Amino acid sequence: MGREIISIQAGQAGNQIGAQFWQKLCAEHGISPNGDLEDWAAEGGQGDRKDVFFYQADDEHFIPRAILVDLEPRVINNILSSPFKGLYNPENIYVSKTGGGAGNNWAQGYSAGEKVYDDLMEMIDREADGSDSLEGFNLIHSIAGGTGSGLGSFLLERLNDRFPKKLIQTYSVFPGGADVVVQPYNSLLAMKRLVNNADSVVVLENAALARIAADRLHIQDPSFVQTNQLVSTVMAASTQTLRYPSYMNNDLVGIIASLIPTPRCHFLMTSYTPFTGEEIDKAKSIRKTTTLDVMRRLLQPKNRMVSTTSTKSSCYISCLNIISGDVDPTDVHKSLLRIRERQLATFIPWGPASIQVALTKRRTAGNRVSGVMLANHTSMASLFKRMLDQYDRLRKRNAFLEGYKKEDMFANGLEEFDDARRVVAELADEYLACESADYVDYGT
Amino acid sequence: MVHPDLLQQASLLVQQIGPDLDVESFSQHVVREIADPSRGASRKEWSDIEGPLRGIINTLRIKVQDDVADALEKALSTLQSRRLTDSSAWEGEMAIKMGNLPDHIHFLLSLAQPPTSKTTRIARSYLDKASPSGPTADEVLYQVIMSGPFTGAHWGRGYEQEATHGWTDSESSSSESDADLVTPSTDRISRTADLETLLRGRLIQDQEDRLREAQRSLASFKEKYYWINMGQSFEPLSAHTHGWRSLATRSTTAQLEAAISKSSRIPRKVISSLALQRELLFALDGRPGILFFFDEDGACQILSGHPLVAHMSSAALSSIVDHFANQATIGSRIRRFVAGTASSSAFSSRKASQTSKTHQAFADALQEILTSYAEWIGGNEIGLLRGVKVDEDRSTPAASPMSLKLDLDRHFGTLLSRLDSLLPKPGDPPTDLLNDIYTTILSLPASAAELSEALTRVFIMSAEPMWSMLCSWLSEGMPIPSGLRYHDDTRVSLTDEKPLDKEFCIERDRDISWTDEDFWANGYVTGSGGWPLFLGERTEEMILEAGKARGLLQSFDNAPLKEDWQTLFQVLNTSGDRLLASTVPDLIFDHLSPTCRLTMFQLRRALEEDCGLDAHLDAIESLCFMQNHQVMSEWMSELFQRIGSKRQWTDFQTLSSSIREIIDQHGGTLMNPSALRIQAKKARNTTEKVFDTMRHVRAIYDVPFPLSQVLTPTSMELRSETFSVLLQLHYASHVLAESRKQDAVFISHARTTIDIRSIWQLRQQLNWVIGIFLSWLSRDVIESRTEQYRREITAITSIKGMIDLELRFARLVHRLSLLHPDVEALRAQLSSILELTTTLGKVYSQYMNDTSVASTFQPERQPFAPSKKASNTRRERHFEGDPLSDDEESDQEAELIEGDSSFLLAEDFGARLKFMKNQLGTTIAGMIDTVRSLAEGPDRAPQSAEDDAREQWAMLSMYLDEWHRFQSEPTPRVQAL
Repeated sequence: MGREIISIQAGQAGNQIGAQFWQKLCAEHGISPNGDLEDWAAEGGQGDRKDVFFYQADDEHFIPRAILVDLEPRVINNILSSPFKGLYNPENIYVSKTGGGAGNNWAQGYSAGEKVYDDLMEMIDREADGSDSLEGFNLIHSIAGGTGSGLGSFLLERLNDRFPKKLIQTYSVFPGGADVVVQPYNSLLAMKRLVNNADSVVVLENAALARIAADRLHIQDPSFVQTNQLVSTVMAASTQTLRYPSYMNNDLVGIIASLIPTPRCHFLMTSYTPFTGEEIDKAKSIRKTTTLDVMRRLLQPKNRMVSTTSTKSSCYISCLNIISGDVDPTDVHKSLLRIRERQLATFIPWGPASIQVALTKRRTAGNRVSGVMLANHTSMASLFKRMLDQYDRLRKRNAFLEGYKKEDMFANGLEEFDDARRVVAELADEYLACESADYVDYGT
Repeated sequence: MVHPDLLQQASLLVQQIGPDLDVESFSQHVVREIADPSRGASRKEWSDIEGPLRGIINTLRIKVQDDVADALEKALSTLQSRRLTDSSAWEGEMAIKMGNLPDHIHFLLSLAQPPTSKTTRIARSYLDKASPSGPTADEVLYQVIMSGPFTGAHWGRGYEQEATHGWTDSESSSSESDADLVTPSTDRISRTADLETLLRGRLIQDQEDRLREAQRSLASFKEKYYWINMGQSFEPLSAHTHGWRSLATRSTTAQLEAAISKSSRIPRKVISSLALQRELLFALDGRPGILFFFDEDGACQILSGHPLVAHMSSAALSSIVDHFANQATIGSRIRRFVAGTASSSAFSSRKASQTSKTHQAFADALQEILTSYAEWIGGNEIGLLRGVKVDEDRSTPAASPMSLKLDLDRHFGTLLSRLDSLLPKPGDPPTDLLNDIYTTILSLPASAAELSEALTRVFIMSAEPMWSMLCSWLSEGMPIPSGLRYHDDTRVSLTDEKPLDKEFCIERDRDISWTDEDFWANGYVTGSGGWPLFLGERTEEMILEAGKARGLLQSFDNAPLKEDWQTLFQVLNTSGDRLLASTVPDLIFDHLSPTCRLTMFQLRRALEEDCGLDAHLDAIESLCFMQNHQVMSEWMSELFQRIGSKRQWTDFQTLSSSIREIIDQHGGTLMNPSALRIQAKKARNTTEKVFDTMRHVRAIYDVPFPLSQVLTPTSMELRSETFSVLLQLHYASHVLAESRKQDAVFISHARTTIDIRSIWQLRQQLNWVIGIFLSWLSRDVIESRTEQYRREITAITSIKGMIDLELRFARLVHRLSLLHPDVEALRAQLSSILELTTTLGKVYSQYMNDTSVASTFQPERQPFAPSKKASNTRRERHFEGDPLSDDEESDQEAELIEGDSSFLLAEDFGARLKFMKNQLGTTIAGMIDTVRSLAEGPDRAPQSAEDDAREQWAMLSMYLDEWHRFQSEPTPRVQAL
């Protein structure tokens, strides 16, 4: 009984983050870069479930349930020349034969997906068939560029059609600056698929990641590697209850059920503390931690990996803290009591909600206690509003649309943009509506 | 040491290589190089071998594996002795004695593995192996030679040495038949024999003459014996006796009294004071005389008409005689008790088996005092006759009856009176006797030091049998039946344990069998006579525990405690100072507590190392409290899918075999799969409500003996009921999570967004409250309390303490799992909420069924379209291995509708939802009130499980309070971040 999760990493960011994620998982489970189990891990008794993210080949090597997809070969070639080159199943790596990439164009990526559909589905089907009881998919991608955004969107739609009963969770990197001028278009179009086709979206915003690197880790100019390490750390931490089962939240559906009461509002923000030098290269932040310290810091906006603007009425729809390490259960209760006394977290008015805490016994490196927060917060609406604002600014001037019009989807009109805008606007409105006690009556 | 051949070979080699070289120095260099251990030579010095072996022996001793340590020491000493026999022969040139070689090898081979109970057995047999006995070959040959019949010529008739006069003074040797004896030397001695016969004849004649004279003298003495004539007759007072002078010098008190009273009943015979004194001593010694006799009961009676004492009035005489008669009675009673009880008496072997050992020991102690008493009487008697002091230790013999009385009172009177009052009846419990003696000693005033000392000695001697039994109890432990001692033998029994001594203060309750869970507490208990006072109250539990622990250790092939047990006398006289009776319990406690603690530590270690206490606890917690999240989550996932697909799930295969298979996949021995099973207590059919059935599901773990004494069936039952609650909560959580899979279909069927959000709101509320209960029970109750329990049980060495802790813990968790009758209301409220989760699923299905049949209403606005789940392609395929296929799900939905409750059929969707929300709200509000009252509880320090649970109830109360915030604050609150 596996409840396996297949990870699909698409595009440059997706593959770079994915590579870091697998490195971290290998380190935690004691799997060497070539898939062998380390001696200390082979002794057993870890209480981990490697089979959620790995499977064992005939020669007992552990292989990630990962599919690496990119339309240009550079990042995947880097992975294949790294020490972890032997980790992945070569049959699960797809690099476009033309190698031109998607040119930071969502439409190119999406249309490329249609062309490579059979190849990709063959990989996905094979992995799915190799699972005892597939629980769902993880899509790791960025929504600003071409491949992760466009091809990722295509995959979301197709996965949904092909595996309607399986959960789809994404780790989506949202743009933070203006690296790509068409990122408002790409983001909006990808957002429509994230809203309609994903069950849960973990939002990771580049600007917030850079802020955390600068403020919390004192790295003024973080490299991609360092940023990706931040993301992979959060990914690893947020999947800990799946890999190291606890008394609750041992499966994806359980986590989603507790975090996402209304299916549409499924965009989750994350916080992680404390980051250490072992997790992030050259980071200088090691401090004494207690359960209360960790839980308090997780609620601080400056630790969130997405930059949202809270209003007076912003509130949590749900909040799950996954605490790892040497935690006394009574400390959790005391911390929750303190947080409640100081009103550090406000919840929706239309239902009872509170901070849920899951404990995992796995000790994290360096610190006694570490934690990750997965939260559903109404301030996420501000992110969508900002996205719409950026889109509207470009769209008013019909700027940079040439690249899209070349593709079949937009050849006959730009209705798809309008539809995507409507979906995102409705989502933002629904998030705002969640702040009201009359949410049940919203939309009538 | 270098082998001489090696040096020789090296010299030859050097000569061959270079004849011009310095042969001697080069040869030695070669030998040094060869022997150098750094170049791979295998040679080792004896100290290099002996050191590690000694270290192993020390380690074994620390681990109390004395048998193995002794055996290894024996092997080492054997090796050492062979080495020391002839150092030059160390290289194996000595002849090997083959007799014991297999034993050496067998033992040494057994040491190749880590020591087990088998190693201990081998070591023990190796230690006990006696050297070959029986006659040597020469002796056998001698016996063969000598066993043949005598065939040689006889040298004639033999003679007795005693036949030669003067060799012995034995009178019997001078029989007439001796003269007929013919010996080789008869001729040589015949002449001297004749002379001696003549001389001896004269000697005998002289002796006979002297004897006749003596007999004549004795006969004349006897005529004057007062005891023959019952005293001496005295004449009445002469009529011419006048004046005080005549009265004082010419009359006796008896004469005066006879003259005054004129009574004819006054005896007319008198004895002297000396005779009286002698009679008194006789009486004290238990012999009748002319004043006293002893009746059948041993009571000393005064003979009527006994003579007077010449210079003593009859009143004075009566007083003295009465006093001594009383003392003589006491002495007689004590003597009779001793004679009837003492183990040392000649014909007491049969009686000894019937008489209590403690009584016998008491009698022996009394005998010692009686001996001393008799010596004192004898001393006085001799002193009386001779008028001299015979014993250096004693004072001058009593000169008069009064001084004799004073002397008696001072030395033995009080002691004998006390002892007389302590004499037990034959059936009296030995503990009573010991308690009586001990309390008598305690009640003595501080001034009675001598008496206290004597009684203490009696007490110690009397308590020695009980002490011996106690030592035996502590060294051998409670007797265990063969069924526990010989695990492999099928003929063994659980009822054939050796009985304890009947008079021991601990006894076996035969109503309790070894398989009973209260065996540890009630199998062996303090006897009906109670706990001996001298052992002290605080030793009772300790000694009971230690003996039980030692007995249990025997079932692990653990040898009896080898200890040089001291006698009670040695224990109580360690300091050499005078012993205070009040300090006896403390001295005994101080003496026994290290031994008892050691035994309990050994058992604790045996429970951990041999019985795997921690491993079993891990397995039990993994199962009953679902602490092995990995296995249990997989098992539940399979189970819930089976329930969801309406398949049979209460059978053994689904419940037990499946979990064993999962454990096998995760490493086999993880949770001791062979010992666990999950079963529904009552066979249920699938049409019944799932939660009703789950209430009867139990996780059962077969705890092996002797751990079953700690982890009793009661505590295991309590734990297994908690399993049922956890299972229900997880199932409810699963049902709510799985309902999300119907969301897309639901959206596509929804008539209004209000319908959609209302049902999501209800689901969110259910999710919240079930999540609260699940996390509270799992984290704040089970995880938190289990950690505390494991810490505490690690620190406890007493099995009784462990049993108490285990039961307290199991009851606490049971109570907090809402299973105690006191919290039945809360349990009913939770059950109601759990049922709502399934009702919610039915409402979903019913709603979709209604809308799909009607299909008349299209929502004006469909913010949720297009639905990913509504796509036709969703049914194109499903995976192999996905147990819940779409078809099954449809069947499930259909069946849910069929099984709808009446209110679902009767009401419309909105009304149903409103009803459910109201029900949920009312239930949660009621729960909050109940939990709050439990958290507040009685205002006192925690004394029971009920009080102990208050902290956890307070936590739950805090978590549930969130409901009030939601209920009381409909408007958005200010973000505090």
